[in-house]
Amino acid sequence: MQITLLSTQFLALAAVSVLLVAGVRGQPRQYVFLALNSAFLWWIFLGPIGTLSTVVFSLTGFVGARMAARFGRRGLTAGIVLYTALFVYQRQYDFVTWVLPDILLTDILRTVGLSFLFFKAVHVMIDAAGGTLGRIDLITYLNYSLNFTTFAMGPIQRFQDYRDQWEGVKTALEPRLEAHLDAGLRALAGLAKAYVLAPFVADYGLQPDTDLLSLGLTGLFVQSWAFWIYLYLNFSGYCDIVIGIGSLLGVRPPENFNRPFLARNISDFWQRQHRSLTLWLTDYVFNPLYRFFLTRPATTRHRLLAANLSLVVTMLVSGLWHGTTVSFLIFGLVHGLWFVVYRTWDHLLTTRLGRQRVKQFRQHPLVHAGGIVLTFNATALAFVFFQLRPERVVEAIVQVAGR
Amino acid sequence: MSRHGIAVRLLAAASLIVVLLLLARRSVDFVYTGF
Repeated sequence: MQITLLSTQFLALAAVSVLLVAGVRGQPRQYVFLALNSAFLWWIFLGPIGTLSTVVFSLTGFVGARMAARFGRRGLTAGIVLYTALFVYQRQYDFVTWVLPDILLTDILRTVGLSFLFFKAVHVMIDAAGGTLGRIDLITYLNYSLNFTTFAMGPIQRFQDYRDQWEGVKTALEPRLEAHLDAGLRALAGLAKAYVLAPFVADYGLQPDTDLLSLGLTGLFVQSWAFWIYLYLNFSGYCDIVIGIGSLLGVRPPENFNRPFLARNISDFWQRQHRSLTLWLTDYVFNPLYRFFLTRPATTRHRLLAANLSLVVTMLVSGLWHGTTVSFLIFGLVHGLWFVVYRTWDHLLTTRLGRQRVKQFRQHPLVHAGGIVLTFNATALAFVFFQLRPERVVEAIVQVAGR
Repeated sequence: MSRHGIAVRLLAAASLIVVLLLLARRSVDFVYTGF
C-alpha cells in the first residue's frame, strides 16, 4: 500500500506533532497526542471508516488487557481467543474467505498495520495477566497502540518502553543540539533509502508475477538478491524515518535492523532483521513452546527436538503474521527448515568437536565469510515466497513436481 | 557543542534534501503496511 511519508501533509503534521508534544505539559499532553494520532490515522493512513474500525480494534485489545489483569489466566485466555478471532476475521485470511459466506466478508474493516496492532495488544494482555504492567489507563494505551510513528509498520515497541519514555523515566534523546540534528538526519536518510534507493533496486528484483522456472538459476539468484535488498531498503528506510521523528517527539521506537546482510547463520539473521518482531516471537511463542515441549514425555529428553519443533512452529506463526496467503506459510516453513538445518548442524558439530574447537572453527575467516554468503543466499531464496503471488508459487511447485 | 560538528550535520541534511528533491519517487509502496 502507498502511504505518503514524503508529502507536505505528513511532514508538516510530523513537525507540528514534535512541537506540540514538546510544548505541552501534564495530562493535556496525552490528549494533544491522541488528537495528533487520530489526525494521522484519518488524513494520512486510513480515512474516516478505516480510522473508526482501527480504533474499535484497538479498544477491543484494551478490554482484553483489562480482562487479563482482572481475571488472570482465564481472563487472558478469553481475551486472546476473542481478539485472535477478531484479528483473523478482520485480516481476511484466505482460509476465512473460503469458509465464510460472501455476505459476511467486507472490505470496510480493512486497515493498515493490523498485524502490528494485534501483536502490541497481545503483548499488553500477556504482560497485564503476569502483573508486570501495573495500572494501564485508557489514554496511555490508545496513544501506545495508535502512536503514528509505529502504527503503520512497527517497530513493535513494548508498552513498558513506550510508557517509560513518555513519562520521562527514560530519555529518547540526549539534550544536545547534535543529538537532535542526528535524529533529523536519520529521518532524512530514511526518506532517501525508501524513496530514492529502494525504488531503483526494485526494478531489478523479483516481481509478484515473475515466472520462476523461466528465470534460470542465475536469474533466480540475482532477482532474489535484488528483491531482498529492495525489501531491506524499503522497510529499514521506513524505520529510520520513524525512529528519527519519534526521537524528536520524545518516544524513540526500538531499533529494528542491525546489518542483516552480515548475519553468519539463520539465528544471527533474525537477531539482526526485524528485531522487534523476533523479540516478540521469542518471548511469546518460542519460549512458552520450548518450555511446553520440555515437559512432554516424548520430548523431555530431547532438547534438540524440542528446540527444532518450537522453532518450526514459531516460524510458521511468523509466516502467518506476515501474510494471509499460502505463500507466506511457505515463507515461514522455509525459515523453519533453515533453523532446523542450522541447529542440527551446530549440535552435531559441538558433539563431535567440543565447544572450544567449534568456537575456533567459527572464528576462522573463511568459515565466517562462508556463513555470511550462505545465510544471505538462503534468506534471499526464502524471500522469493514473500514476493511471489500464491498462484505463481503453486504453478512452480506443480511444474517441478511433474518433472 | 562543536561548531564543526553542527556544520557537518547541516551540510549532510542539505545534501540529503537536494537528493530527495531531485531523485525521490513521488509514491512508494511500503511492503509492510499490508501486514
